[in-house]
Amino acid sequence: MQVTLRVNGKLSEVPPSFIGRRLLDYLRAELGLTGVKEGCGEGDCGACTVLVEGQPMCSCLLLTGVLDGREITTIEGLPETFLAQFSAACAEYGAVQCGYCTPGIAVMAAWLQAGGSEVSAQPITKLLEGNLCRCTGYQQIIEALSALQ
Amino acid sequence: MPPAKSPALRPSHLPPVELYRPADLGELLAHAADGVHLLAGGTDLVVWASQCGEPRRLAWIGSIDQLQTLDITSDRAHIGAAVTLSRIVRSGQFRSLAPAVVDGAAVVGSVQLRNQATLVGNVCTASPGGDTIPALHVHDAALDIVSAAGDRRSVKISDFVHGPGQTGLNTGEVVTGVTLRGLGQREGSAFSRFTQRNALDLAIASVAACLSFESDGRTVARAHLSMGAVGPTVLDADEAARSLVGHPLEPARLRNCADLTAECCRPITDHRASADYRRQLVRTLTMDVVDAAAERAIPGWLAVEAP
Amino acid sequence: MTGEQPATSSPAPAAAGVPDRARGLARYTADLIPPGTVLVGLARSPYAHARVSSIDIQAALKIPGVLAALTPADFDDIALGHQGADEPVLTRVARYVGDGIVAVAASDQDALLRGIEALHIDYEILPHACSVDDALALDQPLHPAFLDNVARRFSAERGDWEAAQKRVSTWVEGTFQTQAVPHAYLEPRATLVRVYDDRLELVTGTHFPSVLAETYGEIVAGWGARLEVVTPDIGGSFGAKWEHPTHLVCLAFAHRLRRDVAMVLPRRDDMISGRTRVAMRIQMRIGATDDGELIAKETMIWADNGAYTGHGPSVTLAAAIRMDNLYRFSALNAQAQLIYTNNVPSECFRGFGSPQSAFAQEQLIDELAEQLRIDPIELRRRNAVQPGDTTLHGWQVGSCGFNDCLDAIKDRIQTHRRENPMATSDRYRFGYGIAGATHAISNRGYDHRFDRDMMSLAVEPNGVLRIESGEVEIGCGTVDLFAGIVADHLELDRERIRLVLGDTATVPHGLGCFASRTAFFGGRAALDASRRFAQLCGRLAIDIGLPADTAIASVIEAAVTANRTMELRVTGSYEPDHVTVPDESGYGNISPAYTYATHGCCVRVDTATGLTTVVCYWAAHDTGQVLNPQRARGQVVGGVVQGLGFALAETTLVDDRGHMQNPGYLDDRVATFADAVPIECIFTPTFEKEGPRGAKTIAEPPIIPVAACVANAIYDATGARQWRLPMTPEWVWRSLCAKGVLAPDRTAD
Repeated sequence: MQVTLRVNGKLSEVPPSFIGRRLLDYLRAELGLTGVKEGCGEGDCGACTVLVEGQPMCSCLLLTGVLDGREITTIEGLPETFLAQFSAACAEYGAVQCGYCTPGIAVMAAWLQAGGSEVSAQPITKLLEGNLCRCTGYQQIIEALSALQ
Repeated sequence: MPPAKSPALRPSHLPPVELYRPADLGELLAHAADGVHLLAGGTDLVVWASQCGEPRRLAWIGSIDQLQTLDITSDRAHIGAAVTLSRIVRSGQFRSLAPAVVDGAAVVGSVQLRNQATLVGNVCTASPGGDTIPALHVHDAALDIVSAAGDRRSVKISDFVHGPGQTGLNTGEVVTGVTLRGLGQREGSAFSRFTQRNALDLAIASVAACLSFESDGRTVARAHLSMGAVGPTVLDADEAARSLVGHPLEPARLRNCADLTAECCRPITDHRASADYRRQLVRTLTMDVVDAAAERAIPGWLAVEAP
Repeated sequence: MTGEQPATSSPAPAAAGVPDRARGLARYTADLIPPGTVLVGLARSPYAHARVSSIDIQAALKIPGVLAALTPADFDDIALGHQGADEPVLTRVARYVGDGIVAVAASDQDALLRGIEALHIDYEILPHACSVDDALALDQPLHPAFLDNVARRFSAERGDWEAAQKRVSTWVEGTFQTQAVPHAYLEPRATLVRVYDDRLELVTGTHFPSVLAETYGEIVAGWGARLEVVTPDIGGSFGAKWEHPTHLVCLAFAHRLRRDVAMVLPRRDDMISGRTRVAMRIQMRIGATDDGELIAKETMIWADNGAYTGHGPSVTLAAAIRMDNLYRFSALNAQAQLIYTNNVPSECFRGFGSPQSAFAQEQLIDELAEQLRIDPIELRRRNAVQPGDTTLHGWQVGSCGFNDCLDAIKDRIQTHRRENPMATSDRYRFGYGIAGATHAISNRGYDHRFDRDMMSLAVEPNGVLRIESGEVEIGCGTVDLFAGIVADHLELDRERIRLVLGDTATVPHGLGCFASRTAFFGGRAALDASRRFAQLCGRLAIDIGLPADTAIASVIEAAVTANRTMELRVTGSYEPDHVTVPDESGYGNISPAYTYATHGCCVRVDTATGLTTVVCYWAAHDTGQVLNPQRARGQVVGGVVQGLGFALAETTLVDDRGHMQNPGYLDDRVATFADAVPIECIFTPTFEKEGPRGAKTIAEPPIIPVAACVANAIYDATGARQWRLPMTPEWVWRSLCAKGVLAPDRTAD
């Protein structure tokens, strides 16, 4: 089985040993994209969130081999203009403490900024329900994300 | 005490999986006949495989085009086995046809998980608390099943799930999709669940209702109630539903109906909740959900109902 | 503990500030593990209490890729525990489900899992006890030296109890149960050990790298090696990441195999073998005079130590006495025991023991207020500790703004009540609650030798100022705080400052980031280092031929040009002189200053489901001068939300075999975005003359009053007193059933 992904704009052929492993493992161990974090490995924290064809998913629950031909975006692949804005908003509103959940939230924020939603008029708190943060109590992240919209 | 031997707890890492990507239904059936587990969204299966170290052979259904179809007509919907929950949540057409199913699909996991998980996967997981299952019950859903020999059969959802994690799927059979009945005139459906936090949680009780009214807009013509997480499978509350039929939906009748659902459910006590608390929740949820379904059937029905 | 850095060592990672963290550039331990590193895993006991009768590792060792296995015999003379060395690295007697028995090292994860599955371990099952009552009744000690399973007893009696009792006209009392809660930090425990010639480098997120270097250093010295500890960025801890058996397992494999090894715990493993808050049963009574003078308080505590001790003793003592210091009692009597059970070892957790005891005390104060017909804020105000007081436990109160906090909350509640007339119905009830709190800053009793911090400032050849501190960035903003103080004081550009934290090979000593001490102790050390650095720059300026008052940035520039940056290196420190090591009963001025808080909230209780919704929350804090309002607010809001989890949702559930039933985020129910509540954060500033620029600290206090505050609001709404945490919908519903306050037609079966 041959599997080729486009990760952050670059084509990469997946070695056979990673085809039956999680996308998270492939991104971190093989491609060195350590911005993608593992918090729970069970889809309950969102720290490993990446965009697959522009849609957020948990890379801990995706097997690499099922993604042949897909476009994957990690925090490392988000546009610099977005990262600069996001980073500035986080600093301004105090939206980052330990920072372990932040890459997943950054990916969600990029998705939101690109018009991402499920149905119309959903609040940020619903759209980000899959991203846990144990430090901030969310208030300042919500403020930062609201400022970015 | 006698010596004991029990496997040590292993780290819950996913072992490397042997992965197949069948290109068509025939290949998929061949894998299924060979004992390979089917992988849809993976949001439950990958977690289990990490915890148990099994299964280690998986066939992914997502590259088979015919399983990706979401067909909606004026009175029915067919949802292919690989259709994700987010496709259902996002479809306005589907929402008009089966709002209760959208209510259920919209609270599964999170945005990320709904982008991965499938409706049929949620059914085949056969959890007593599966969030889409009560709504599928009240929409008279049936599973479309094909066997290794190519024989097709259709099984009512209430006959399909046998117990926690157990379905009526025979070895070598594959679920290709689910077909459900859409709302008719003056008909509404709704689903609600109770969880201890507002997201990323499992229901400790849930209720779905589908209600249609006579042309007077007051008298209940047909009712279907179904309850989740209060029995070994999702349970239909037939007697409670019948108690509504032929009458206007007055508060006392609604309360009586709620009591009947609470009586006929068969909850257990586990680490999430006790049996009697679940029963109490079913009572409360029934009132809320019948109310919501009626509102969808006849917007502003409360005003219509007085005096 | 300092030494030159060998050429083979990778440079210590610079701690990341907020902008880098937001870009995903922070590097946590698991991010530093290179491909090809040997992976380590544990076979854990499936029994809560069992003697390991035999271990066979031969089949595992034959599996291709398995490199080695370690058994309890490899660690026989080692026991861990800062306050009671009782935790084996690998154990011959499993004392909780998840206790490590055998460790396996392998070249890849597949081999590792196969190796662990191939182990043969036989057990002799022993009777187990997963509650303090069962443990006290168990006729078998869990640790041979503690025949009654009581790991530690505390007793503190202050004032003239007999005389005080006579003045009491009204007593209120209750027995309260608090629960074990996992810390649930986002970054699971991870350990990387790098091997150099004669040196092992332990890379792991921890509160106190210097203490780890000291503790493990002695063990590693016994193997003929040296140890340094590097703490990279830490993905949260909240009081969990101290010594841990997995560290020594990795060190031992690295030493034996002469290869770098790593272990990252899956979330489930982390939860079953991590740590939890110390669960307590607290029996308390408080007596007052008719006109509302608080006279006497009596406390009895049964604390669940779990299988091993950790910081259980300090936490239990803190729960027994700390909250007493909020009011001017005449006499106090506290008795506490810490009891071994077959639960996962408990630990300190943000707030130490005070969230537990506040849950009891602040509800009883409200009970008293009701019985005496005094407004609960007024009752607290009348008895509040004041600046200049020395409390019965020996705390010398410097700055104290408790009254201001009370006033601020009174104002918020009055306004809210006026502007939001609540539509109380049969089904939905609304109520308000308040609770107070006090907390120490560090604890002189933690390490009997000293309580101090140091900081070095050094100029690198390119003119960048390097801050070196033994403190770590655990998410509270240490990096920004230190850099901010130094940059401000020396008028330097923040971009020209780099921080190296928690690398014991290169930084001076710091006791660690715990007990809300880093901003205070580290901040004072930063000020001291900055002053010394400015003096040094003045001298160098003259030497180079510049005016003595030349701007620091210009002196640094001149030093770069003159190749004299090596001369610009100073070390500053802070060690308070008016603190005392507490005696065994906890008496002493343990901290250079104390913080105060009052919280208030409005809740809605759904009587049909018992669901409590926090409508509005106000947190007023006296933390001295606020150095960084945004970071301070982050600590308050984060602490309150963790507190709401403790109050309403989070718990550790154990079945009758001792298996944890909810080892994951799904059933542990950490708050999600969808659970966020509106929280207003109010600072009522005092000026603490001992603190850095008048500041005190803010990390722990915000969690302390939360459970009590919500419980008081539920009582206000429904009349049902809350004796048990967490106040889940089901338990609140049960308390409503017991009180007969259910909505019509909705009664318990």
